[in-house]
Amino acid sequence: MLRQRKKDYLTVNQVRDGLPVEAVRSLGLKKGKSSVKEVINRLLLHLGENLTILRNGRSSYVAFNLLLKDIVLNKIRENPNLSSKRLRSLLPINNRTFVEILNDLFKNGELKGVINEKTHLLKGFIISSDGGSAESVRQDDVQEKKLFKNAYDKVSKGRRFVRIHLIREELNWSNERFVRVLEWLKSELVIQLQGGDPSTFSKSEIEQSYIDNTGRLRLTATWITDD
Amino acid sequence: MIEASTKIEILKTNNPFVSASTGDPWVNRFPDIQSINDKAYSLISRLIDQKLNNVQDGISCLILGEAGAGKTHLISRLLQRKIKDNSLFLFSYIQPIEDPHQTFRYLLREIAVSLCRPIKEDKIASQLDSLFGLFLLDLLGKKIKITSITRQEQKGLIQKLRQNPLSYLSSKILKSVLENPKFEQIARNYLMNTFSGIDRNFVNVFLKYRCIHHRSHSISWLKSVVLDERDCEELGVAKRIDMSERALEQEARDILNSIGMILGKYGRLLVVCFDRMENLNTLDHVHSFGKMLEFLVDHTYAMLPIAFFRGQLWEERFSHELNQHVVSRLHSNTAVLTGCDSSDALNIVKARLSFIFGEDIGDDFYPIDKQKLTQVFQSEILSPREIIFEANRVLNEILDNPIGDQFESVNSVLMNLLKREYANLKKNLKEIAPDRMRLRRTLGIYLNSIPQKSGFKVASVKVAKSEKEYIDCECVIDIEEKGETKIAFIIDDAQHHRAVDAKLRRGVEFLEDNLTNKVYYIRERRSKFPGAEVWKRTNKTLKEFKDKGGIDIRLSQSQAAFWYTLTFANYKIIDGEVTNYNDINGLQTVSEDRFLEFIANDLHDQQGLSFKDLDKAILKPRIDRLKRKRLEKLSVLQLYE
Repeated sequence: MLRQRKKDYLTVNQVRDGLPVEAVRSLGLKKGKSSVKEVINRLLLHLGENLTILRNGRSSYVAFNLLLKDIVLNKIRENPNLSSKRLRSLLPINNRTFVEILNDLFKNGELKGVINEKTHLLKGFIISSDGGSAESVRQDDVQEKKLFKNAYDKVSKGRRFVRIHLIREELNWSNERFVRVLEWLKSELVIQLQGGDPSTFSKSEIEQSYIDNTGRLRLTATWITDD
Repeated sequence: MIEASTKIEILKTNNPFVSASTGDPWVNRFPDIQSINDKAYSLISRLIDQKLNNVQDGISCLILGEAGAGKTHLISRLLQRKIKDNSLFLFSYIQPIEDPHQTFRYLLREIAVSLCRPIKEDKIASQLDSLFGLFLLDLLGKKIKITSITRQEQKGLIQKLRQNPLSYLSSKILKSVLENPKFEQIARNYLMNTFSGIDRNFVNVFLKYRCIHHRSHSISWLKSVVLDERDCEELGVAKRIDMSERALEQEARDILNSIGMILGKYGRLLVVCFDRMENLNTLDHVHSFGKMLEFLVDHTYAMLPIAFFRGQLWEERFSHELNQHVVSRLHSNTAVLTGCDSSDALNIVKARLSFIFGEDIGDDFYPIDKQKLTQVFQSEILSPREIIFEANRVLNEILDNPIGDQFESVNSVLMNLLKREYANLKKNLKEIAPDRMRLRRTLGIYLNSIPQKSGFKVASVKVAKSEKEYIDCECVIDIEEKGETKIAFIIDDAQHHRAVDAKLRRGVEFLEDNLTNKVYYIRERRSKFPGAEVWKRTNKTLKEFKDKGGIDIRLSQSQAAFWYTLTFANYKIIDGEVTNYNDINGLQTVSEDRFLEFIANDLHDQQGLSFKDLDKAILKPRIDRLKRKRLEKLSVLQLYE
């Protein structure tokens, strides 16, 4: 969901209400009804290495497991013309942490501030050497897609219904990374996942395939775009 | 415009998303969305046009798609096109072969079933009828003098037939022409002279088919049935009873070739759709399919085979098991069924809602939230079946079905599948010829789904490998506290007295082998069994069989429909077509083991199925009337002594 909406974090309520009904139900939750605490308790069992829970006062967020400074920088990349006050209000971190992170970034020269002529407050930011710009995030996606396609081509041997467990084996990524990229390619309509015939798969091959958030077992993938 | 509350009420009793399976291509309930699988359909259309332009082109087509991708639906679309547009192609639907030793007889039978079936529900005319009309048009146009009509009348008839090749069915003048004894002679000569190498027997049957008195036997003959001598004489065909297997196979090829010749001559084409190919269990079955395909492509005119396979299984299994010549033929025209984009997905939902409400709903998907549904459909390419499942899930939520009732249990899915299949088969049983091999599959289902409470279990099963073997299945049954008994099952659909007699004789021998042995002779009531005045010797053998304790089971029409229901449902299970949705595991394919478990626990005792009758007979000791009579005689003698 985070990738789909191109966010580093979402509030717990946004996650609860944005998940498909069956996923919410399989977590034992109810859309729009379960409390934030209940949702967090359930989500903690399924977050894995890539996700984490952040708290800021009364608000709680589900976020990518990134350095907090990267979350701040990504927000600035999204909109460099935010005032420091506005930026702070949009981030899932408390005031003290926010100030510490900004000061560190200024000290290390990673970030520069733009002062408002009238109020003399920070009216915007400039990231000094943006090796990790929003563009580079897209570059990461392109790279991941390329690696995935290479593995797909290698194990497919010209077939159009390619076993997911073979692609997984070929890539040898962590489960989180593999699932993240697979789900991203699926949501970008680059690949189509199919049920396949489980009777032709061993138990471990099925385990190494993929189950989506509605519980559908997916055994094969087909690359449906031209690239 | 239907009110919102009325819509809810309609949907409560008539949910258009409850079934996501096309099942039978002959039965089409919901409107078709042309844009779905359009590429595959366009490919097929192009190939049809190409083949119609040059009937001698060896063309075949392969359509790949996973379960639920719309393979059977695509076949149904093709049939609908045939019906609506009155297209120049004829349609046939072939399910997987059961006995690979009868490759061409099976192919002929399945094609004959399709050709002899009325393709419009409200009409009685079959595709073979329209082919006969084309022949008639040709014959009348050849200035051959048909004795009973004037030249003027002949011209008028030609005009009528040009407009509608089926007009001869309602024309009184043509009726008189067809009934004229000389007509058959003229028509036979014309066919034999026009089509070099046409099968003489086929010509006779083709000409007899139009006659109501001969129609039933003609259809049976086309379906490769071994007819009785009297029926053969009436039709003017060679007796099959004495023909070798090889000769019978060759005869089937000759008949198929003859059909192809007539089709080609009249600018027609037969599209042969091979569906549910996952059911080709063994290498022999796969090779048998390969032979059919090769024959249709390379050795007949005017036939276009289209094979529908599940993608992964085709690529990993069948493409390696088939002769590479066949594979390359198929690969040259292949289409893969991809899923639906969000617009197609919404169209499916819209079409079904519109159908149920009887009006175009436009953009008002009430009670379904179109926007929410769009979000789901935009996030992934889904198959048509998955889309219908999703719509069903959303609708059930709205209709406020209690938790747990929102999703059908596996048992409920299977029960509904069988109910639908049974209702369809009961209605259309005449479209399916008695089929020993399919009944044999159901027998296998029975033997693999004996409930524990039955009081016996199946220790071992030996199934016949070919049609030639008289005993279809021999098994050892372990009866509680009684021990093991050998049981033989003979399934018979033969219509020739000698063939029936030979099977019964084998049954008698099996009974004589051991006093505890049991034999079931299973035959549909549709397969006639004339009395002693016609089948004297066979009836005598039947009596002997029964006297020795043989069990004679005649399946009524509803029982036969039940047996075929299980066979066809079994095809669908193997095809991965039967799925259920639950909130723990999501969308799951129902396995064959689960199907057998369901039969054992929930269906075995159903009255109509006759499985319980089989159980009863297994548990009952064998009653040898002859032996009993001898013993009774003996005890009377002892009394005298």
